Amino acid sequence: MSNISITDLRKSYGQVEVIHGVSLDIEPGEFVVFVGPSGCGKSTLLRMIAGLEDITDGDLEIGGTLMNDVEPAQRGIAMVFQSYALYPHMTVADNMSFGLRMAHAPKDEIDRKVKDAARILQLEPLLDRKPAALSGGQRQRVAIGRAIVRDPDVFLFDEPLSNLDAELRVEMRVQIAKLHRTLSNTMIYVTHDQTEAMTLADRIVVLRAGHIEQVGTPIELYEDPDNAFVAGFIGSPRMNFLNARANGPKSVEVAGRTIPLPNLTADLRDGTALQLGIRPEHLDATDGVRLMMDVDVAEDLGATTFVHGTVGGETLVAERRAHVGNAVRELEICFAPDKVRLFDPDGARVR
Amino acid sequence: MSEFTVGKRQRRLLWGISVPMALIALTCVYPVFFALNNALKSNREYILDRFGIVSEPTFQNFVQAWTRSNLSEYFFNSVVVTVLSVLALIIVSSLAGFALAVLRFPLRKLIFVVILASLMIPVQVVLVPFYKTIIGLGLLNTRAGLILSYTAFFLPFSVYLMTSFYSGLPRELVEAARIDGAKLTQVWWHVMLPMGMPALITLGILNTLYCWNDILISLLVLQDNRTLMVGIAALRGEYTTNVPLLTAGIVLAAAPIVILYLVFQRKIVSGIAVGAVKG
Amino acid sequence: MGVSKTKQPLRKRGGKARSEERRFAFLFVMPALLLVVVFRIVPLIWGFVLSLTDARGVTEGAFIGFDNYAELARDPAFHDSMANTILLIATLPIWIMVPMLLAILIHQGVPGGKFYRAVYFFPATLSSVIVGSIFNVLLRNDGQLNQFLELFGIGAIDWLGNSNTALLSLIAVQLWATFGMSLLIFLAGLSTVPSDMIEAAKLEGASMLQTFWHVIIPTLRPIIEFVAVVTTIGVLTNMFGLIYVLTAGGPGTSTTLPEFLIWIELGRMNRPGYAAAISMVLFVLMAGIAYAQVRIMSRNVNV
Repeated sequence: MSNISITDLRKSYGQVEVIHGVSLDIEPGEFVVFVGPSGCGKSTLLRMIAGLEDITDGDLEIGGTLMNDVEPAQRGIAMVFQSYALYPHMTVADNMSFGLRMAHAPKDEIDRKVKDAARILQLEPLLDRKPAALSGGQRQRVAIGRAIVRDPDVFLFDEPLSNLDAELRVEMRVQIAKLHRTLSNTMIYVTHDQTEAMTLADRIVVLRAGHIEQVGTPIELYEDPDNAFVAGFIGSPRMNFLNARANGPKSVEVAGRTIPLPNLTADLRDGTALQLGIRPEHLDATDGVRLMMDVDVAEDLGATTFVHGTVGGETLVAERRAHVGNAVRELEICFAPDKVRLFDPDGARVR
Repeated sequence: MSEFTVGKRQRRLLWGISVPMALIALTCVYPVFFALNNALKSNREYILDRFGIVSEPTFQNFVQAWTRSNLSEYFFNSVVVTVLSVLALIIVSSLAGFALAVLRFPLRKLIFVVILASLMIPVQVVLVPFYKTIIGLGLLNTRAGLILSYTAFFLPFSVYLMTSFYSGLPRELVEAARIDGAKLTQVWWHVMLPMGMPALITLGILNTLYCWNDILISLLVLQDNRTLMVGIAALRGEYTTNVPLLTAGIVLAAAPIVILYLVFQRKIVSGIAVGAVKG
Repeated sequence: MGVSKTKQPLRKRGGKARSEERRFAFLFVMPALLLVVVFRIVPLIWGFVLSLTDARGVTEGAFIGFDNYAELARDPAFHDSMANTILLIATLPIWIMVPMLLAILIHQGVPGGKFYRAVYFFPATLSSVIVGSIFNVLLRNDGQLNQFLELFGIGAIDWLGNSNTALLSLIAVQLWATFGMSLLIFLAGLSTVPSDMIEAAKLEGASMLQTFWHVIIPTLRPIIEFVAVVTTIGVLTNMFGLIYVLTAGGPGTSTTLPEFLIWIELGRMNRPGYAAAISMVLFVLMAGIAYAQVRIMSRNVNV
């Protein structure tokens, strides 16, 4: 179990810089998730930690030791790939023991470690099979097993569940969460799926275009986003953003209505253009600001309904824990002002 | 194999076509049948009946060709040289293909181009200096010299095939091996070789064909210690009148490849088809 | 967040891990590179130098500039070999059409297709020495072929002894021996014809012939070009064994091709410098074809 310390890490391909000075500290035993849209650099960052990509500038320390130029095999890490990367011509047992065999470890040690890992992941009946004879979920477990056998300080996961179908993904997510509880290793997990991030992480690192947008626990990111990007990325369905204008030190005007925001720390300048963020699930309050919404489409999922419509020309989505018939043309939405998140036109949070 | 549901008229047409096609097939097979047929005749029988099917088959010619005409020696030479050359080609081309396709090092593109460009330099174009090089390196009349020569002259296509095959493999396999701590030689032996099997089999087949059937290079390098094909060419000169003996030698020389072809025909044909599509 | 450290100078890409990968990569590629350089590239340059000398036998020979080439331009044997080459290349359409036609027929489902495929390829597995030796007997004046033709009332023709028919015989035998390989290449290419295009054509009511012309041929075009180039290079450089055994270049020079001439000048005439000059000409010819191939293939890649 090790801590990881990244200081001002940069990565360039030729003249093009893709990771711009990322700094981060990861505690031992922490489960950290790198999340962000495609191309944000989360995989690149992970691979730099693994040693599969060169570090152009900055420092990477694992367990207090500088690791910039150390071979991947020497960093005390193990990696689970998106495509599992299992050797097709070897059995499951051979796949898992590959590293130990290459290091000429004693046979009984190899057998013991493979058996232990197989037990944790319920792979015992599959040890003699080849990858082609396994299902996607089984292959993923073998990939994880191979990582466990290495007995690493840090586990790295590169979008491991992306190739599985939705149902299997939920099941595997639970398995990985349980694995963390059992092994207690430091784990870094990359995904583009914010649900995986929210459910698995101790802390989430939100990345965009090679920058860290925010680091925090899932709740911190949900409740207290630093900017509109994080607010919009975390939480499903996406937070609603409405155009607003300040009309008082602690109030804004949206769609013709004035909304008081007593919890604001700063004072607003009159007339400033702003964005008002409110999550769809918060539009179902019993007390608070009331607005009428013109309904376009109601998506009834059984237990929940997503109502798409407009308020004063602005599109928004409201969530209801009830059926809303398709004939409904207008819906009253109600929200508490303290659930509002305010952002300036550049996306920065106004607290 | 047909992608059409052929109509009745077209079906009759296709049956009609199969007649000339069968004739062509006959011409493909006849020459070898001719050789075998006459190899089984004694010289006397051949003189008396040159065109008929053998009536009193004898294996004498085979025995004579094998023992008296040194064919056994030549055969052995060919086997040794072919097997070792194909082995060398497989090892060298898979190592080079691995490096060129997967590893990062300076001048990688240049080296690939140089190896590929040498396809443009067949033996005939460098006949004289090649010969002098062989002499200069002390490799004249050595089997090692021939093996090295075969490897050098059949490498480019092999390297091309392996490089393109390996670059089609998911890079994560090699990365996982690196993380697992395998040294690069271990990665080659445990991962690249087994995974390269389909391409290596095609290479093995093609190169066996080339090496076994070669005449020009072996004519230059192995002059006393001849290979089989050189031996057969010489046999022609020595026994122009004893056709059964000559054909017996021919049958012996062709037999290994023909037998291999009969047994592995399907695999050989599909292996070459794979190579063709890749090219 | 991390404590900010003093900014380090930009690290050079490298370190122990990288240089080890580099070392191994060079190690892995060295055998192939070395072999190719020693046995082909250096000899090529050396050959060019040699062609500028009048070396004889083992003696070094003096520098004579381009005299060898000048002599080549006057040499009747060389002229004949080039003329034969041109004749050979003129027959190229047959070398392409025959395998292509057979491949299409097999692909379209002629009964026994797989069998034919195997049989047609069979001659390609035989060494040119084997092929030459057998046909040497078959094509004799009193040989099996004439015997067969007599059944149809055609008089005996001295195929290999008559300088008018010798080259033809050589070409025919080489075609016999190698068309199977082209056949396989065409078959491989035909299997890449997208079946949905064919189905679409069928839905629009195209007949077999129309589909053939408008769908299959265009898809085959790059393969036709590929086979053309491969065949040309093959006849320029792969006929030595056959010539050596079937006709020894004769009668006269009627079946002498440049690659055989090189051998004669080296072996019989013992004129390595002169032989090297012919080699250079052959090389230029091949380089020209290679250039054409590269241009064709790169054009196809963009298509």
